Amino acid sequence: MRILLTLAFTALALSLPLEAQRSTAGSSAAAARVTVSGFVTDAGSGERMIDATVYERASFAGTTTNSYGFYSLPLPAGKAELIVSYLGYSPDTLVVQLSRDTVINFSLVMSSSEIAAVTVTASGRRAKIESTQMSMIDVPVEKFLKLPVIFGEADVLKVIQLLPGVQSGTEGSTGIYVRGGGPDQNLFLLDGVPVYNANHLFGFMSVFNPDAVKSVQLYKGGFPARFGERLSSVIDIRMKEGNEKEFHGNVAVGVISSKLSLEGPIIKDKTSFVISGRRTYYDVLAQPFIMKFNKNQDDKTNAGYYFYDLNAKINHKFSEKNRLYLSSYLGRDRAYMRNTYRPDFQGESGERFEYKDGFGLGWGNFITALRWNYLISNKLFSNTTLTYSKYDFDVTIESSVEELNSKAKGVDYFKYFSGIEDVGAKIDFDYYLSPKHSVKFGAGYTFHHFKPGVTTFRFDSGIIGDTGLDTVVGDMKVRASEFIMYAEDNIDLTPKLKMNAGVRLSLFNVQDTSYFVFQPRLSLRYMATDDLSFKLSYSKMGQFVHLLTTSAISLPTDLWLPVTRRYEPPVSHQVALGSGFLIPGDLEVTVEAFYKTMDNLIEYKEGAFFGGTGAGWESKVEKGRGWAYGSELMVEKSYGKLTGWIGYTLSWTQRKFENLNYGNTFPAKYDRRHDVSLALTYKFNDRVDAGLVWVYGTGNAATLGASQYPGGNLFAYDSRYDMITDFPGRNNYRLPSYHRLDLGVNLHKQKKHGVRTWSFSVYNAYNRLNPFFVYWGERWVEEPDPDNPGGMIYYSKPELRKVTVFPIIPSVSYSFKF
Amino acid sequence: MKIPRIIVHPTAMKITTKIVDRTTPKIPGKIASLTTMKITTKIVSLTVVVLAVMIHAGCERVIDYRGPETEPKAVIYALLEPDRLISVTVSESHSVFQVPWQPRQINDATVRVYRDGDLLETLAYKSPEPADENAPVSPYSLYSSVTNKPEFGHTYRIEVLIPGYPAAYGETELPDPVDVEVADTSSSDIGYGNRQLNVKLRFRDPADEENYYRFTAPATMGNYYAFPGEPYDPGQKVYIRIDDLSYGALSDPIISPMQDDDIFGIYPQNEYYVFTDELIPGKEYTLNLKYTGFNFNTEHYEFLRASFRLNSITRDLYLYLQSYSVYGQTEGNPLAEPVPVYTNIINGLGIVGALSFSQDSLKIGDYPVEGVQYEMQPY
Repeated sequence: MRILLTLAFTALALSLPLEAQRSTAGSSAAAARVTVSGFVTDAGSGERMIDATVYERASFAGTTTNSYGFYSLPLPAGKAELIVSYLGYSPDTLVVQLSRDTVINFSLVMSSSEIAAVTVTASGRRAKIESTQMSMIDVPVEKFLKLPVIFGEADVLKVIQLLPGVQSGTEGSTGIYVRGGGPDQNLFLLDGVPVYNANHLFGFMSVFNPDAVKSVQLYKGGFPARFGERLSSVIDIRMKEGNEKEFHGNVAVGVISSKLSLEGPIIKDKTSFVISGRRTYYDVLAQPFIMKFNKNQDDKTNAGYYFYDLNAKINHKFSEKNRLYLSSYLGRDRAYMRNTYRPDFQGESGERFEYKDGFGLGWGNFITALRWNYLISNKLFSNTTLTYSKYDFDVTIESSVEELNSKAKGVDYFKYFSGIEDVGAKIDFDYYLSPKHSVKFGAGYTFHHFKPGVTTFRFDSGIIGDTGLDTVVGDMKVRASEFIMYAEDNIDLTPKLKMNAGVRLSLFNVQDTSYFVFQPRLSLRYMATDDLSFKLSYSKMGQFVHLLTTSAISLPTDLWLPVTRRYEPPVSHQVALGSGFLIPGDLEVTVEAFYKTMDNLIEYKEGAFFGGTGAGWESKVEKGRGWAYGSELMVEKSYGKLTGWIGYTLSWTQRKFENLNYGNTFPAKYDRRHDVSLALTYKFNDRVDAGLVWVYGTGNAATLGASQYPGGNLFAYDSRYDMITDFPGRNNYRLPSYHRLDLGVNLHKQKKHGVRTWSFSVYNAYNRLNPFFVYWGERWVEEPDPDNPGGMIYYSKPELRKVTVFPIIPSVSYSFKF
Repeated sequence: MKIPRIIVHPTAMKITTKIVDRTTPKIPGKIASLTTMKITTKIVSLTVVVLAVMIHAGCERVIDYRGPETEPKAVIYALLEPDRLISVTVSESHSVFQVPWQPRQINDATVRVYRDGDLLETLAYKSPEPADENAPVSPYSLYSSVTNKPEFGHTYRIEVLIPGYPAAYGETELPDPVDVEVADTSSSDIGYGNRQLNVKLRFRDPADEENYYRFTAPATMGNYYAFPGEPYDPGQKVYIRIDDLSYGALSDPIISPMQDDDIFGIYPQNEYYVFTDELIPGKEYTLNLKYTGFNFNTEHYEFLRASFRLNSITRDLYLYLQSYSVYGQTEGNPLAEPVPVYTNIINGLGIVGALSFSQDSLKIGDYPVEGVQYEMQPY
């Protein structure tokens, strides 16, 4: 580890003299160098394109656009042939005579010919291999929308679960576990703003509406210094910006929810918007059944569940150098139950009463970001962002009785509330020194406001003389400040060896305690041939929040809490070694091996089974450490009629806690030796495309005992006893392996005003009964008594039972794009 | 129906209370009858409903167990206390597939007690009291000493050899008792005609060592049942009940550290009232005991005799009691991570632990009083 650190800083230190030498050696030429810069956009919508490749043929110099579609490419003056390419788009070639710094904006047209795209974009395909970045997967949004999904609801996180290095949690859920990390070690960024709870529907759907998503990048390791604050992954999701050219929309009706998206220009080529919303409707559809149920009942009950979310974004281009974005997400889940009872009887004085009980459970996120892109020069790009993120969860219980004549009312009210609120500001710079050298740096501040649990009681009995009560308990607001600074240097050390070295400094202050975490990062890439590279990376990551969560299921009661004196910031170290290469058949192959350690992890003490409520949480958890290692293989085909990937992961994930499992090492719950995924889409023609997903995974670990003994007679000696199950160790047992096949077909038809699509899919097509969990059950046995001919004996026989939740599930959805 | 009441305990947490502004007209002479809705029930119900719907939509199948074979082991339970003869109960574990499993008395085990490594005694098997022939056989086989009581300052090893099983053993030594005293008692009105007995129990945790405690409170109380204001009738009896008042400590934050926080009732209750000195190392601490509804009318010859005991227990015993308690409360819950019950038995299961205690007493009213009729209640 020390060697790696030394290497990183030696390289960083060397890079500056190297750059200086280049400048000196080529001083005469430098005078003749010019910088070409600009933006790459989608010709159809005007949306800026992330990671588009800009390449100059003669000098072999190239670069990619940043997160805002900007590129900057210093080149020798003179004739230059610029080629710009992007997956799924026809490349654009421009021959120019360069005599001074020049701004050239490119607009790429979506390719109608898959073959043409394949032929011309070899340099684009090599970009991933040539990049120093490893352990990062750019999830193709257009492609994943074609994959079959459960209930017909496309979900970003469920696609990420299909990638190597990512373990899914409970079947059907959106939980992800990256390279042995826990569910709290993933940083979900929506337009750069952290999303604390990415779950709808008790974790079975994510909050990211695919209709609003422009790009998804998953980082599993080799983290650039600009990312931090979580140990195991960064999921960087960017929302669409809105079509600058013309209005478009999409309406979709699914089994669970319906969606509507609209986008278009407010001022053509200057201001555009996109708005996308969805809502479930089980609560509405259930009303006739509830009314029927209530028909002959004395008391009337109403219950339901729904979620909705809304993504909105507006951007305005003040000039080629100035652009402002305002994006927001609002989402909420709510489950409720109400009961009203109006008895027939009357009191002695003719009083009539009505009783009402109500229960509500709700949670949701609200995030917003105001972003200003400013091109300071054609080499220096800046991005200033103000962010706000809020997650809250509440339980409300209300009971009342009302005397209907006098309208006098007694009310008991209870509300529990918890949440986290962040307000932040950050500034990021991209500085392009040369085609072989660029630097990113920035700083940020976040003010965290943790509300671990606030309870309000209000009693008003309705009795004259009774004073009632209005009380707030546990108002334990915790405020914390977090400062970060980072710098990363991306440089070609030699024609074959490229390095991205950086450092991230984080300072977290909470309750008069400060933590400083120094996080060095290093990525090296060596090009063995034009189509083969080797990569090495080291990352140290720190995070300043804990998530109190159960290991069994994701619930809204899961609590985000700050680090404390007792529970210090979790820290991870990860080393990854990999290789990327192209093979015939347009296949990109990535192989990686990793080793990761994690310290200062927390888990609930044994026996806790539900979310926490805040203060006092420290007494409920244990501190320990973990480590994971393994290797991953990904074979990807991004071009042509057939696209998709095959992923394979071989990994081990261990945990060690002093006070869990007698202090012995145990496998993490989602430790799986093998994970295989196959995700394919095939485009037959413009009217029909189909998708296939097949996954296989070693069974999850579970704690299961197979012997029993009498227990609990220390303080009473008699013939009564309870049986204790002897568990040999935590997560000692392997559930049956998991596999399933999903199939889907999308039928498109051009209509007068747009394209309608019917999507049919089958989840778990061969009806594999995968285990959701297993437990010991009993079967009553009656059989002849061998010791007593003619007699019978009766006893219960244990059986290991597997519960399956998701058998074969067909679904259909309809959408219309205009 | 009764009025829901959620008692707010004073703790380190910030509590702000204000009187309700009476803008709503009151219902004369009527108590609002509201349905109590427990949050725990609601949330768990909701989760269970969600899971139940999912599980109902799916299905359940019997599958083969593919784990390793489990060999039976000796199970030892021994709790050493000063001034009590050493006794050990012996039983055995069995595979869940060993059906039908019938408990048996193991009368051929060899149970030896070693003190500081030297054999002190081989305990004798003691047959259970003759019982009804249809009564189930107890799985606990009792082996006891006729002469030896544990002494402070020695390490005791209990070794059990059941024919066919590997020899199993566990070790322990008596922890020193920690003096305790009743520092204060008071009675308070908690509204609606209810009174509460408050007892403060003070002790000082010994410094420079880890200590483990258990609170117990055996008590005897006498109650005379009469309507309010009704005079004492010598013809009526005072009913005597033997009770365990340990539960009064559940209002103390060191026994129930998450009581205010744990509004969902999510964390297993501390049913053995065990705690450590982690939060009070070497410090004086006062346990706050609360007994709602305790109001002894001495004019009616009601009385209370309670012994408040601070048991010093071994670390092993603490871990066993805590894990056994949590095990019982989470068993069968698919949302809970299964809890292994702690054992300090080598080659076996169970626990060899020890305790010693000091106590202080509380007496309210006179007992017995000549001329008063008493009757023992079964509970």
